[in-house]
Amino acid sequence: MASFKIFTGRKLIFCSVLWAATNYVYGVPIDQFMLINPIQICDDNGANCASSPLSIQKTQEIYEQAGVASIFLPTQSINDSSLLTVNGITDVNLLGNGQSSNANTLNVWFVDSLNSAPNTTLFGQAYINGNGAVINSDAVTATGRSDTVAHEIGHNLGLGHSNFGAGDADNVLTTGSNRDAPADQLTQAQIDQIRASRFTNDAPEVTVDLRGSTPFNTDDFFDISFDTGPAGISLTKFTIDLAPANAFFDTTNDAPGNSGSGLRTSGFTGVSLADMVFNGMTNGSQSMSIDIAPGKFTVGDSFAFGSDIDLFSAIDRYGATPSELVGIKFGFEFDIGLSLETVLDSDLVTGSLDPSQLNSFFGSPISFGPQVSAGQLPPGSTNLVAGTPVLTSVPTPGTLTLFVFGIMLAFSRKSKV
Amino acid sequence: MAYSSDSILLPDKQRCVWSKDRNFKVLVQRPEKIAPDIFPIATLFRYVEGKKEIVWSLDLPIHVGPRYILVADDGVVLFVDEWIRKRQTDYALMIIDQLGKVKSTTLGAVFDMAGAARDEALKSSRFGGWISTEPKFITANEVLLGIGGKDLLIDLHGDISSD
Repeated sequence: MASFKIFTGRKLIFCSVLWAATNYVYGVPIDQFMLINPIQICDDNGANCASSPLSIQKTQEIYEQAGVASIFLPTQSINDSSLLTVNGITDVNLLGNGQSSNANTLNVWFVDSLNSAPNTTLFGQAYINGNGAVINSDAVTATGRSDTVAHEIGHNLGLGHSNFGAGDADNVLTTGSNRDAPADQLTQAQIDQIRASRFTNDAPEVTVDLRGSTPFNTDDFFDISFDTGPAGISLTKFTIDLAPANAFFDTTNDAPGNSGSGLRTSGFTGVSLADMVFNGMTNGSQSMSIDIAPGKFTVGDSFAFGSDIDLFSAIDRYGATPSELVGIKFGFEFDIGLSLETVLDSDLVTGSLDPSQLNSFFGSPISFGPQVSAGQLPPGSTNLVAGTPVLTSVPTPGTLTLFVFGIMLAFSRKSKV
Repeated sequence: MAYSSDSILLPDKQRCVWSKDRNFKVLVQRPEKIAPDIFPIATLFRYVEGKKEIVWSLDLPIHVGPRYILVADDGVVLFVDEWIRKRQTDYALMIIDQLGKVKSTTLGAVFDMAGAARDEALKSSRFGGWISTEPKFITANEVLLGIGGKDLLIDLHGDISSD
């Protein structure tokens, strides 16, 4: 152990104290999600972009405590040198600066730096209970304050520096001067507020029901139904991992099992076999996946399928019974980039939100909803989305005056030509 | 629409600390902007018969700068804690000798050696994130520092060792 010679009191101390365990609340079921739209500012030529410390992992860890998955959409860039250094959120949250057209998607701008009051550094700024945050990329990158994005998002979700229990050095929402970064704690009151925010949405629930007593010669052993979830979200991938039960798909009459049955499907509602590609369900394999075309398998849809499954410890008997498959894993990937994993337990019914099971977020965002690029007005009107602040084309009185003055000046010059 | 700012107060742009006998002065200059490739500069001056000479000058490996600056009568400099409050740092203590050689230790190692639990240090901290009593010289080469209810005596001539 590297050490200085350090004494305590009058005695030399050579003791080892384990770091106090951090208080992460792992294992909380993830049943909500929020979408984050990162917007990176670059110069007019699309170069010298802000470093954009997204801090995805830290943000996800923090909000998993509240059962909320943080889904980062692909970062988009805005080319505007004048926005590389700004005063705050109102300077960047202007129409056409990359805001998502989805009212519940949080827009987070990454600029080079934020102007600060004398002898201070401003790491970030965000609306309280509104949509929009701006991050000082240089300062966050330099100092390793990877909790800054989560801190600012917390403001958008309605949290302040001095309410809902903030104040401890470990609390994510504690004011910058009193916070040890990166902080990672949320109080229960903060969690309650986060979950009640309009920016957090109920996660989609897809249920898997194991039917019958044996999978042999069935077409509905696995009954998959999309029960609940926000409109517009679809399941794009479903996986099964039989390894935890030491089982395999016995799809033919060849070894390892000499009496099997192959893939059969049934019960398509709202989705068709043509929308799916079954992968990996070969004889002897322990895992398979179904790729489903985006937008095809949504709330209210269902289908079923079956194939013989044997245990390696009991090949060619009755096939693995549902109770013998307890422990197998199911994976669910949705088109918003939300991935959930669950384990079959003794009730033989599980799903993407099963609270008694392992649920983890390991999102690899795909995309969700149309993005608004620089200079392009979102479809609809000048008022981008209801409830989103400062997204209006109506100039303030000051700018209106300048605008009128500018027009008058232009015409006066024309008249002289 | 109300908004909230996450900001911190910075130290003075230039901080000067003298040794007790006023033969040495250390100057820490904070950069104007916090950015990944910009670091504060520390310079040690020696005063001999009224003349000033630079002993060493170096870029510190921490952004913004240290929280506390101390210099002994023999010119050994001690930096305690980073100005930026961090849960972990490799530079909880930095000792720089007259040759400009830097020794440093992590915050975790400081807790270990002090026998102070991190949680207790946080609870009892009054200066920054983990210091309960400001560091001060108690002998020519020893600094006393309070952390988590423990008093640490830091020997400025101590070596980094593997116990």
